Amino acid sequence: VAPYVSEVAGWLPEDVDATAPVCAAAAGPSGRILLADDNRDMREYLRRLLSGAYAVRAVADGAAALAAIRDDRPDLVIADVVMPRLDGLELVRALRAEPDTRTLPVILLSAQAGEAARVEGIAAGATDYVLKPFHARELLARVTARLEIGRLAREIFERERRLRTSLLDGMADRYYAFDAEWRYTELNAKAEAQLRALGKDPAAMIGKVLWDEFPHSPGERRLRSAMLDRQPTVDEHYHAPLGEWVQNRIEPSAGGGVVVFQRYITEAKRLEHDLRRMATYLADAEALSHTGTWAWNPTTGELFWSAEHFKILGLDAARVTPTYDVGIAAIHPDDRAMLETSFTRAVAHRQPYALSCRVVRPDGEVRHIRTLARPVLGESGDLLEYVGTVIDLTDHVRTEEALRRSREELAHVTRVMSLGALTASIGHDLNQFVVAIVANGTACLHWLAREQPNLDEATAAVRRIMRDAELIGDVVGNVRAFLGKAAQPSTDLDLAAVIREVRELVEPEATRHRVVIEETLAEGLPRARGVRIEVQQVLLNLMTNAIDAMAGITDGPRVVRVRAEPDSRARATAVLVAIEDSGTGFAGVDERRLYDAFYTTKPHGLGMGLSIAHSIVERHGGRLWATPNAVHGVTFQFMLPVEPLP
Amino acid sequence: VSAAEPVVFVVDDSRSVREALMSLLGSVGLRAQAFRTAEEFLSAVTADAPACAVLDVRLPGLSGLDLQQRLLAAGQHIPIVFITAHGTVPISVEAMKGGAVEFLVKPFPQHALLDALERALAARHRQQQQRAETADLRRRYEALTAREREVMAHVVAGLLNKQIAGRLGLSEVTVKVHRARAMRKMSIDSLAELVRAADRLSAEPGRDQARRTWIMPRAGG
Repeated sequence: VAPYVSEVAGWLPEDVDATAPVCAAAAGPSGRILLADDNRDMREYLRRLLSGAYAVRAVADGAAALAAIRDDRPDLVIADVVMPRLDGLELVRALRAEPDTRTLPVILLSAQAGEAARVEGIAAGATDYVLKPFHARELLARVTARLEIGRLAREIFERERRLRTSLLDGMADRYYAFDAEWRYTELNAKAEAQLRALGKDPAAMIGKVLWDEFPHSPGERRLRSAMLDRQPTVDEHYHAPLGEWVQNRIEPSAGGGVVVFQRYITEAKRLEHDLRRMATYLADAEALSHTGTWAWNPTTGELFWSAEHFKILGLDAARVTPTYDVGIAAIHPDDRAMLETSFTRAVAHRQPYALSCRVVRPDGEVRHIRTLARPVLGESGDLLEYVGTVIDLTDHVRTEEALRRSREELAHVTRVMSLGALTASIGHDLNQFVVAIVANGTACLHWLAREQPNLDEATAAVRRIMRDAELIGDVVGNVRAFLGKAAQPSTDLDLAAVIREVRELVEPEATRHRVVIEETLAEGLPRARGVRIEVQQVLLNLMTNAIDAMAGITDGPRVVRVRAEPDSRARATAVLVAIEDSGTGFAGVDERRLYDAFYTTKPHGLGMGLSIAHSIVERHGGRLWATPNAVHGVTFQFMLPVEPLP
Repeated sequence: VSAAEPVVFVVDDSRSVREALMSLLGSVGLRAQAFRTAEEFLSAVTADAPACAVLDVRLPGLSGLDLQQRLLAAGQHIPIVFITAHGTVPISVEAMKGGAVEFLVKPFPQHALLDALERALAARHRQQQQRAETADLRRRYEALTAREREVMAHVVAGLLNKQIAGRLGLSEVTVKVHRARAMRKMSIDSLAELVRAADRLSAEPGRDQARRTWIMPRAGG
């Protein structure tokens, strides 16, 4: 041993001061070194050499070194190759076998030169191999370098570990890693929290076997098969104790184990369920209401149609891909231009739109639809898509049409009936003219047959015949016009003229019932907008009603007063017509039912008159009402809006 | 056209009918006057006019039937021809009960109206003749003395001269003298004629006193 020490002493550089740093690495708290050498001198020498910059522990053999390292891991190990109990090579192998020390830098010192010994040392796992005798500076440089490399490696490792932890902890999922024997090897923070919630200590779980901790887990079967199959697997199951739906994504890992990403999907399941139910409801609602849905993306041109949308167009969803062109092709040719114009304008201004048109199904059937749509705009106001509905109104339109027709029919029937009631009077009127014409004719013949024919008288008689014939023509014309069935257009009505026409129609009836009709028509009445024949019918119904109302009057006047004036309350934007009778009033009449169809107080009435009058006035945008008079009788009034001045 | 010519009053609310009837009546040589209402008619009625009337049943205000009743109530027995567009049996029965000459439903054949008017005018003529005769009788009756009237009443009542003498406390001869004088004054030749004259006078409206005198001699008088 002594020659070694002298030898070593000779290597000790004169200028090396053990207390002085020899390199940059010695400047800071730079590391802890375990030194193993069975030679006491050598140990002391090295301790002296290194103690200036590092914390050095020294032991005398490999076994002691291993124990010391396990007890307190140093940053660097310097070991002699030749040592009792456990030599340097064996020490390195032992350290490399343990996970904690697998990367611990070890510098072997050996007097044995040569390639083979050096390779043997490196192969055993040594980080460096230094031949004795060595120069103090070289050893220090190597120690410093190894410590620095180790520090950097640890830093990198630590950084990587932190990154991995933060990644795993940042995941929404719980992360569990297991080795091939189902031992826990790694957990993220969420998994730890979960284990804590389940009454486990996360720190104690590593190394424990999953099935020991959680026997009869509902996910067990799929986990085991994933481990065997080495295939990524997704398993969803309901975990009754937690009351949660659980999803496990299982991936085989490199070491023969698996990693499990676990999340609760109860909310998602509920949403999915809700969504499916909503979709079902929506489909039902669409089918019941004949409403289809569509969405159109102007950027991609993508078009979505719901099942009902396909059905309304009579197209097969399995065969037809909805496109703008397919949609346009389904529109009735007469409506295409209108639809495209409206649609283009709406898109250009990013406005909602609504329009009605017809579609032609492939089998030729025409359906009436109404489409409503609105733009969906992004945050910056850019157009994302248009969503809209399509409603099949065909049945509705047909019902409306039928309703309109039956209303016209009813109006016609009631006109026939009201005229039927007047027939006796009209007949009387015509009869008078017939009597007059025959008498005039006879007189004319007599005047001519005289010895001295009286041509003046004869001519006068013929003139009267012609006049009466014209009057007959008027009566017939009135009746025919009134019975006219065809719907007439609205026109500007001179109500005074209309009132006079109807008065002529009811005058004989009034005379028959000894009723006097008085009219007060304001000068220059504004013109009301309306369908002449319908307004005539209103007046006819109200006037014949008024006449009928006085049938029972024996001791008082029988007067119908007809007034027409600008409606003062409405600032002359309406014309008010009042028909006032001096009849029996509302005695025994349910006023609330006055305008109901088929409500009548007359033994032979059908009860349609007021109901028809009411609906006609309402259709004209007016109002019809009745008020009892102060003394006797009732006044019916109606108001018709005046055509606004252009 | 003299005042004696008969005038026909026409009432119809239709101007056409009024004018036509005026012309028709004119063409057959009848004077006519037309009215729109019954009220106008009544205000124009005089003792002599009209000779007859053509009335529409339905009129504003008073109806034709009302007018007929008013005239009867006033002792005006004007022959009436009704014309109507609404002929019902009850109305026609009422009209005929009131003494209407004819009830025509419009339209009617012209000759039916003219025939009816002819009958109405004839009736009127007869009426006027009778009225003239009655007036004559009345005048002569007024010329009788009280005793002569008394005797005549008993004669008309069917009593014999002797009975009359007994009743009046006269001799049979005196009764004969009064009777002959009364017959002469009345220009009556037979008892039958005298009875008819008494009938006619008693039928005169407003002559109740005479009627009683003639028909029911005062008992015991």
